[in-house]
Amino acid sequence: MKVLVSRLFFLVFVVLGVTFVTFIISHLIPGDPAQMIAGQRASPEVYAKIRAQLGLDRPIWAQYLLFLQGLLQGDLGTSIRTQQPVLDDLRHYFPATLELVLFAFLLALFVGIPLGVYAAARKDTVIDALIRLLAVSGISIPVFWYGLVLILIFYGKLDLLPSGGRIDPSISPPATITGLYVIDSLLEGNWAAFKSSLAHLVLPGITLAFAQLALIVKQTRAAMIEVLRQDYIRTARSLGIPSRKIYFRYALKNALIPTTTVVGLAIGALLAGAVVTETIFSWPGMGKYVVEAIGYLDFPAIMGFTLIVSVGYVILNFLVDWIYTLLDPQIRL
Amino acid sequence: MEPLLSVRNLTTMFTSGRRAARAVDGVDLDIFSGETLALVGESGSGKSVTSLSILRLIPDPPGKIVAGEIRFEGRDLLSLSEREMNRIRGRRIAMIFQEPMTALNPVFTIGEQLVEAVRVHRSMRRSEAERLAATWLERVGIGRPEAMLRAYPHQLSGGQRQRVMIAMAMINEPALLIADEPTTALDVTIQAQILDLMRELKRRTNTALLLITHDLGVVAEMADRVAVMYAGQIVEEAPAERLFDDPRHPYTRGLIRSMPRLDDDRPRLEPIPGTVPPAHAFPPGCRFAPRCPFRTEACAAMPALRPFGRPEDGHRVRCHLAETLPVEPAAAASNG
Ligand SMILES: Nc1ncnc2c1ncn2[C@@H]1O[C@H](COP(=O)(O)OP(=O)(O)OP(=O)(O)O)[C@@H](O)[C@H]1O
Ligand code: SF4
Ligand SMILES: [Mg+2]
Repeated sequence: MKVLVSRLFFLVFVVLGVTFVTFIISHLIPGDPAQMIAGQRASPEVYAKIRAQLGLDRPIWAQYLLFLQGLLQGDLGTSIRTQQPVLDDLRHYFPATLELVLFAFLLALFVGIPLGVYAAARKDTVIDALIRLLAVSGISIPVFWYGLVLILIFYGKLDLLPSGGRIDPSISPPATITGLYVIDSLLEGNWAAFKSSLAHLVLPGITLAFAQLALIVKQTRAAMIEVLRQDYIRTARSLGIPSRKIYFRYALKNALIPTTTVVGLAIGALLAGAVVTETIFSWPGMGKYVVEAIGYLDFPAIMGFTLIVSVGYVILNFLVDWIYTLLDPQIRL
Repeated sequence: MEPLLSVRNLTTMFTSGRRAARAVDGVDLDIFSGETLALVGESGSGKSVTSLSILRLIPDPPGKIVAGEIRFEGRDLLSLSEREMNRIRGRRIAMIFQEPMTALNPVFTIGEQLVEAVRVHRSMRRSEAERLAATWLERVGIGRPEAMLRAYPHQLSGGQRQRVMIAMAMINEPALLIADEPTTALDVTIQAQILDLMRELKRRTNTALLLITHDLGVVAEMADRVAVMYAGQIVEEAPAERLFDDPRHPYTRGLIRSMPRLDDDRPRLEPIPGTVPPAHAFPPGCRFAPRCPFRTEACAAMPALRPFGRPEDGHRVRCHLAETLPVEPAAAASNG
């Protein structure tokens, strides 16, 4: 209970901090959204009216208080660009981003951890060297570069996979249940939509996941090597427990304790990385939305996006702390 | 009688870079059903490597068993597949280690670890295995076994953990238990309790025990026979009483003289001068020669391990001067 209260305080603190900093930064950026909406040749009267509409005629602190006041009522303001409530916009784009990030996360986790375990189990062999090479390239090559390379190969040369959008335009998307096409089409039993939406996920998913997958491989490998040296692993072997089980149960549960930190950070990095990936693959998610908002100096939209991402990040960190307690009996919340 | 375990010419090497070391070099050992064989020797003489080799638990790399035969219940363990070997480990031969603080997995409960030790070898329902685990915890002297099943290793004392380790090793009633310095890390009163416990369990299950220790007091209390190891080789082997009464190898004598005892009437302890040479730099000829007060020219040749006295006495010595060594008054007197 005490933990919960302190966590809530922390969350409020983060929201205040993040909104404040974003607010200041977005108002320090040169450029005038009222001017952009009004156009170059608008009369001073029209311009002033637009400024007042947007609340830009008030002092900054008043604008900030106004924003907070709206926030308390669940109102993130109105997008300057789309003229829609920011919350509605984000709600509209959120499922696409969630689907992409979740897919990339599962990919990074369920490919990264086994690869790390195998590399550690086969330490200093060819397999280990190959896995490490993969990890190093994932960490050192920039996202947009291999995003474009993947498009070039699998779309351009081989024409195997689509390179943009969430689903083939000739197929109508499934009805919204969770908002995730892959899941909704499965629930609907719509096989064509399922295949198409999954195919559309592959390239952006890999692109987004690669760097985090590499970090998870690296961390899992290092943690496993350390754990495999421990006396209790020798005990397990002396009891006749088969190697596979020793690696994936006895050793891995210990190795996951340090790896969990990296996994937690990975989720945050995936959310941030979605901005670039969505732009490369024309993925209609929040990342693409915010890039367009930035080009338009759409302050409310930028604020809304930043807020959602940071709150999500904080909540995920709570989740990570909780996972620690599941893994390590010596940690209590 | 056929021995339960019969080790012949066991040779285990460690390689690091260009340096190769025969940590265990041509060891022969026999252990019979139900008996206790003590393996003694100073630190670095190859006791742990010998015992880990028997269960094929030498980390590879850097280690490798390069020669020898390990016959156990009629099979050569060195020719078994890893899978077949896993049916012997923990089932027919179990092992307990020196460090109880780190030998248990910190993220699983005692119950989970005991149950796994059973179920990896026997098809038994979880609840049944848990009951068996509780029974064994009680047998090794742990009160409230039900609560202990749910505890994690960090909640236990060193002595409790070693009891749990013993329960885990004995739960499948193996034919052979290898205990590598099971009490060294514990304080004296707990040591005595653990030794009592092992004796009691042995009697109950007729398990043979290979007891590794450098404490001759423990040997005198527990062992039927003793093998003395030095620099990767067995240098003397005899029934326990005989070894203390009439040690025939200068190294054995040195060990006995350097050992503190309760009934001590000797003026002072005499440590053996010098140290065990590292495995990559064993001297040629008799390996004990650099530290041996009886050394002669003959000792430049490696002595063989050969019977001393009548073969049926089971006394073997690796020393050129075994027969001519004077009788030791101090050693003979100390085993009163
Ligand atoms: N993993 C290893 N890598 C390299 N050398 C090793 C390894 N394990 C043991 N050795 C070498 O093998 C030799 C014998 O070591 P061992 O552990 O068997 O000694 P011990 O008789 O058990 O000593 P202690 O009483 O200290 O336990 C030592 O010289 C040691 O350096
Ligand atoms: S062979 Fe020689 S050097 Fe070796 S123990 Fe015997 S007397 Fe000493
Ligand atoms: Mg040892």
